[in-house]
Amino acid sequence: MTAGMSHDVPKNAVPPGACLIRGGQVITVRRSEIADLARQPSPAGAPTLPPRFLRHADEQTVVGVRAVLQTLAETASDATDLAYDAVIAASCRAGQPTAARTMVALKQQGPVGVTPHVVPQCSLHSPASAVSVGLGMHGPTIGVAGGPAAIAEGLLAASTLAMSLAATQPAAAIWLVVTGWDTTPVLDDEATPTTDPTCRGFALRLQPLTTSGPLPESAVLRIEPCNTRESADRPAADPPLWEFCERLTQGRATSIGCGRGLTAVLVPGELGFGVGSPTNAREAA
Amino acid sequence: MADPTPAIAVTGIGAATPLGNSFGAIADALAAGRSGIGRYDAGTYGRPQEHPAAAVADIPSPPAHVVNLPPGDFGRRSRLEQLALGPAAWAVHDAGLVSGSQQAPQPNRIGVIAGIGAEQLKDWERDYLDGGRDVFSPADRPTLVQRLATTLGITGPTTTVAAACASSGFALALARSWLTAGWVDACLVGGCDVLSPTALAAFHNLRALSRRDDHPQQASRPFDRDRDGFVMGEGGVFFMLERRADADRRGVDCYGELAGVGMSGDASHMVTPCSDPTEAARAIAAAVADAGLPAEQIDYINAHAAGTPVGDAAEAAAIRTALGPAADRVPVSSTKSMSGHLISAASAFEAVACLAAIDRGFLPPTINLDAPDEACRLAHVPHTAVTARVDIAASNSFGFGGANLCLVLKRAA
Repeated sequence: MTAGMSHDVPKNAVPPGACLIRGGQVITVRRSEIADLARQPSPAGAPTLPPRFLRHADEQTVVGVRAVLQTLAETASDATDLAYDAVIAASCRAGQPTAARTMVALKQQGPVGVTPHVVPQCSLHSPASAVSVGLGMHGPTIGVAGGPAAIAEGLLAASTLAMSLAATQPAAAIWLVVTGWDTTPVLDDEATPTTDPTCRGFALRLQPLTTSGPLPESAVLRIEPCNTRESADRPAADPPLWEFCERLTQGRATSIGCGRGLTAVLVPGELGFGVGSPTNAREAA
Repeated sequence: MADPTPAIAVTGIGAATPLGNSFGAIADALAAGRSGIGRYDAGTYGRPQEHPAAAVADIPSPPAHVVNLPPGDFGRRSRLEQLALGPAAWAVHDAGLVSGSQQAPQPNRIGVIAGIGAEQLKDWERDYLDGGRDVFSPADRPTLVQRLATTLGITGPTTTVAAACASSGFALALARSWLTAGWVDACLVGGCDVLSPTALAAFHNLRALSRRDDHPQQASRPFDRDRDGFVMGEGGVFFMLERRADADRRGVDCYGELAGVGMSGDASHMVTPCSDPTEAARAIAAAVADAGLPAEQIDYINAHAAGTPVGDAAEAAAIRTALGPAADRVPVSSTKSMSGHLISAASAFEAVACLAAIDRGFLPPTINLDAPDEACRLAHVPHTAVTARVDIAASNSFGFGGANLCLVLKRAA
């Protein structure tokens, strides 16, 4: 075996999978506000989605799509060709309210009561597909994670895809969309929510870096292998999504263990990702 | 510096499928044109819910020298978890990479990637049907992939990948990149899925399933004029991937190499298959180019073709677009005619079918292809397997939301 030998990278060279951060937005929405947001997801300056496009979408999908639209609105002056962009969505327990309604319907009405939208709209891939379909992106589209390590798995998957995209579509970007609940909604026996937690998400527009140039010091995502026994023994920990979003908006660098073999390092730099609360903003306007 | 394009070898396979639980058993079934489809009742709450479906008869327990579970532990795990853990542990065994052995990399240099499209939905459903309330107030617990890594003593990077019916194919694509980048020295990768009342009902209500309930073994008929939908299946298939140079140093035999990957997105519709073949063709062409091959050198294509009217015709057009004139002679078949559609595990299963074709020297057939649809004009392999040397095989997978993937597998030189 060649552990530790095959990934030696000269200092300051661009390591495999490194990306430049071209933009991003953090979004927070209360559960009770998401239905309105689904009906009117596009902020001023962002592309418009097809009418009623999100009517069957899961709550986390709505928040993820809004984070992408908000990022596009903020970078409107940057002529953006999305045609070959890729999308990675990392969610944590997405689809829960719809799944609960489906279980209740199966029990009460039998198979005929099961909505055909539960699989295409409430699976792990659904937020990524919604961004891709809604905005006409023809790059690879996948969902990752599903559990508590959504941030780490999302960052790692984005860097992984960056390697392929840098070789085949160097001008295309990767949209990383991470979503989750601060506390998972509690539902009653009829699958009606009894709590109104915050759903949070962020979108990052990442540009794969080619390995020939130098590695920028800020506004980058990179993956660092752990070559030493000490780092291998270090426990991996994913910060809560709210904390990660706070660090993003403050421009603070964050390192997250991807298992004990790799570390994802995100350095936002001075980009200053805004925090959007879409419904409040719309009402204020 | 790392080799920028190291060959990636398949050094271990583990499986639990409707056509058998080992590489040899699956190869035998495919060569014989045997169907794994039967009548299946997913009924709940005293209501019948019968469909043609492809179920796994017996899920193999992990070998004790790979995972030493307490008695009864494996049987108490969910069926989805069994369909991951059993095949994954057998892939570790098959590759000779049992943790702690001299040949095994450090645990943090092994990765785990699984294609699982709707893990939570399946978990919540099982819990609810057992009288639980997890879906109303979910517990915060690790994903199946994280639990799988823990059980196998692997501490490297892990992730779950979902691209609907192309999930395990995208998992293989990611694993290849991890090995190419030198992020891991070995990667356990595959996918699993399970038959479930909710999924069967949802796809039935979507009118995506075949309604040939009285003749289950004739229900899956890709490319046939009388096809009327797909037949759902279940299973788990896992591979051990390594850089070829590492496998050679260990002196292990390889099933073949993962030589090329192509990916694209239709961006067409969340539910309905895209009838425009442009993006699927782009994925196929990209995979062939990634493998550094001209299209004429492909010896066999394992089609995604699930038996849906729109999807099969679109795929036939995509193959013709990508291959050009070579499409008139490159043999194409859909093993879903025998295995059913293993959903998240389909790509991984069909990669096994390609490796079986390479290893055994045959073209797996499309059974039930009585009257090929003129809209699906291809060099079909109807009814029975054909003896042929296969050095290079391509496998297509297309998922909900327009996720397109093509893998190119080739004989290990």
